[in-house]
Amino acid sequence: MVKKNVAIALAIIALVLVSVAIYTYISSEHKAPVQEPILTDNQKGQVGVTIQPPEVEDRGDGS
Amino acid sequence: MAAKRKNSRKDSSNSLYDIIIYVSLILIVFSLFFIGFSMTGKVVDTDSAIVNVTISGTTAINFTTNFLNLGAGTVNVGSAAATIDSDGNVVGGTGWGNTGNLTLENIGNTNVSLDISFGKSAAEYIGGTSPEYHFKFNNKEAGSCTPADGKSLDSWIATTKTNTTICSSFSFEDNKDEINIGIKLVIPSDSIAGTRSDVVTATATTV
Repeated sequence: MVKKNVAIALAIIALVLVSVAIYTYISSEHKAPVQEPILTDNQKGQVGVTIQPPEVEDRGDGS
Repeated sequence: MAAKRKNSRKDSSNSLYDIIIYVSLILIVFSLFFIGFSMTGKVVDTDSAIVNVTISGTTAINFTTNFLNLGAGTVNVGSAAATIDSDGNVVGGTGWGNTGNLTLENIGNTNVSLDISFGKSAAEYIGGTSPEYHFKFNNKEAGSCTPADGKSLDSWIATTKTNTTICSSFSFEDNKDEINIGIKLVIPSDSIAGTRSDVVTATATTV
């Protein structure tokens, strides 16, 4: 009777430990890859130009 | 006879319990071994030390020349438009002729892709009939920029207000981490007079 109880107890312990081992294996195999955050940086420059009105030739005759 | 059968059944039960005990013990030992290995990565303890350092990636760019002044000028009388660029070329106009570039440097420690966008369209920037607003890029330091698909160094590209990817990879390494950006304008004779400016935005994204 004692032997039976010991056998059952050991079987239960073995079952629990095997379950833990399987869980550990599966979780380590399917660990989600760590995604590095995408980093961005913005910088601004400036483009300038001065547009002058066309020079109109003064002919002195009012035209 | 019955007692003998009973004894025989008892022996068989005993041997079954023996098997269960032995199998359980083996499973327990193997499970503990595996769990210990999974958690520590080691079964055998060795005397070692680890020097660990983490270098974080930094994405950073900087306009080391952030203002490009194309100068002042006028469209020649009788000419429909003047074409000017940052290489100092002037066709159909008088004045202008400034040379220069915007210079952009990758000051981070990671390669990046590089996008360029402009704040204004040609019509908003210059106005008039059929204005044009282009840019080009080239390596100030050889090997800095790997042009994106469909783009090439030193080719004029029409500006857009949305992002245009110009470099699929913009290097961070010293001596190859700087590019120049040039500008070309076609200024119609009926363009908006005055001093005009536009903002160029460079966006770097870690690759």
